[in-house]
Amino acid sequence: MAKNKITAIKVKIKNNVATAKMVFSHPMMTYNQAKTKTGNSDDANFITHITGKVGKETVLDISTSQFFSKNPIFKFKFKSDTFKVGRKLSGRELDNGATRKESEKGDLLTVTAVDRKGNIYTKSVELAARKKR
Amino acid sequence: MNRRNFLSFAGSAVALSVIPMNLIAEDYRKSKPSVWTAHNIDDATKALYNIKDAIHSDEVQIEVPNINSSGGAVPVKFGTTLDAKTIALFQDANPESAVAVYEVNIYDVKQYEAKIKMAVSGTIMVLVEGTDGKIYMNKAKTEVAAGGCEG
Repeated sequence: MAKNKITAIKVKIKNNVATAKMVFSHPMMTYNQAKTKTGNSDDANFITHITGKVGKETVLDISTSQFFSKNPIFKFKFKSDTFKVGRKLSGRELDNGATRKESEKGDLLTVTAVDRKGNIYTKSVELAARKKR
Repeated sequence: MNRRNFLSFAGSAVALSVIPMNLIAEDYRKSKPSVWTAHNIDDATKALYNIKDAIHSDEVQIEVPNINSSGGAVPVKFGTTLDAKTIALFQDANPESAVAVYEVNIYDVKQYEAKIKMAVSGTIMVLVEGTDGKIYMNKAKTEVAAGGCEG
């Protein structure tokens, strides 16, 4: 069985609005499914809370239930004009082995999820855009 | 500073230190457990917002496909242009009706997308708690060819 985790977070920034897409790897087992599989409905396991933070600022807060799909996908948008957005390197720069300056790095979006068994999953992704705002 | 002034100052300082506690994100599964065990939308609405009838509003958007081949992953797009405190997503196809409660923050654009499970065809409802204290809602019907809750 696949390990439960936050598989990927992608952030796109356009016109000062960041669109984030989160993909989880999680069975999201409901009480009914747990009963048919293991005979005990208390074996149900699903994500109960998701928080997204940039620095100390909360940009997402969801209390969730078992009725999200297996390996759920969430999309949300937030205003990114007060956060520092980094510069993505272009393909040519990557080919030439260019590295970014420290000042060109953006803030990190950190997503934390908790499931019913108490496991905590975290993943961070940098806010970055190819073009300068 | 005399004693009276000091006491009133200390009192306001305590009050100020308490307020930010309320602004910290709330876990609705712990604070309102009856929402998550309610078996229909009316009970869940009553448990969450303590009212029975919400106001229908076109400023609350919901978008679902008319027919889904599988109930295991029904894509739902929803959002609002109203000033909101919380946004709740409910459906009436599964044993319990609450799906999620989103808490709106100052950075939020209030546009969301997610994939949910539906056991049978049913209604998906979005409730928005406005900053004016009123509850607005909008709903959409969707048909499911094969349910997604049997496992």
